[in-house]
Amino acid sequence: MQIKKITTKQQKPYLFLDSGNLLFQQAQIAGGPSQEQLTAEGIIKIYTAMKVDAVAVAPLDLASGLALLKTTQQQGFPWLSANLLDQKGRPQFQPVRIKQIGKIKAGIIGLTGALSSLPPGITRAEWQTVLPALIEKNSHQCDILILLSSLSPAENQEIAQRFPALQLILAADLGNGNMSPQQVNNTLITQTERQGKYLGLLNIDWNKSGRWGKAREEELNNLRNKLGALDWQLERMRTRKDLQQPEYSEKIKQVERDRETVAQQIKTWEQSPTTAAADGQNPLCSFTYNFMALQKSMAEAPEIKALVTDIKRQINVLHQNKTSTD
Amino acid sequence: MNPENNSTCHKHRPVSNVLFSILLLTILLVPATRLHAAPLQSFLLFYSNNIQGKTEPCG
Repeated sequence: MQIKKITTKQQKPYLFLDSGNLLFQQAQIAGGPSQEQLTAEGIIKIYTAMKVDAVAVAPLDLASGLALLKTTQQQGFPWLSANLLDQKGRPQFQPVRIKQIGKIKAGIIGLTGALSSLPPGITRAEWQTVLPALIEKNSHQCDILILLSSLSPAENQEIAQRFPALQLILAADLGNGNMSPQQVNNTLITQTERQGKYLGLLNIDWNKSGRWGKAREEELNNLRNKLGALDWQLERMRTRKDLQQPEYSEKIKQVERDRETVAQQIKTWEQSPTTAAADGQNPLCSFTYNFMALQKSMAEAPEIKALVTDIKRQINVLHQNKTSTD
Repeated sequence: MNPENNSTCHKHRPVSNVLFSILLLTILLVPATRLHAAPLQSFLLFYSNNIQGKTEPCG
């Protein structure tokens, strides 16, 4: 509903992408019919109704094995993974999807992060073995390259440093919350908070240069303001009397962690080269961003509402059947 | 040579001169950045991750 509202208002073409860990909460679930399985199937139906453009397979999506992913892939669900391979080294999923957005072509690549155990019949290649060739091939035929990645933050940073032809990494790191776009070399890295609390939105002005600019000073100002606000919050929290309460000290720790993240982001931006100078012929690309908080009270599209009701009904039936057989 | 044709040609020359001058002025006076100012494409990118994900897969 939010997507429809915004795109109708702004009259711009759009992409809707997901970096994975979409289906399950944990790395493994029991086989057979279960609430988790029904929920996963429901999420796929909802995303299909929302016309998602690409979803990368992340480790938690493999919790019930390959069957659900393969079936839905055959039905047209746009799963991507360039590094999940079969025994002969062939990709199990589509590695890249190319989408036309208005006048430009976007190449979307999926990479799957490390798993403790893999479903039978598949192997996971390291990004170093598959990504360079994909970037080389697709950077010539696409205007913008986007990576959907559940790799570690350190790996994403390394990829950004190595490949300036990759302009955007949408991450799915479970240890991170909302991460405002950080520019590393010529790549923006960003992700949203887990459990669907937020939807990220980038409003992009794309130019032929394929290089980011402008946002640096704007971003630095925002981050400095944020740092000031967190310092003020910390000062106030530390003067409170119930400082010894474990719950309260955990809150302080969280704010301290947020402060550390923001300070680190400022450092990264300060170290990145100033990109104000365009080459004259091709102005730099720019963006603004926003994390939209999603609440249960938000109005749902009738089609989505019907799907959610149906999933709830199926779960109730499953529970009733289990109770009657116990 | 047809004198009538010649006279028509003379009538059109000042007009084409003016058009040429306008074109030249546009190229010289409008900065390159203005000519290229409009982005090739503006678009929106909605993104999400870890919709269900709660725990680290590798412990």
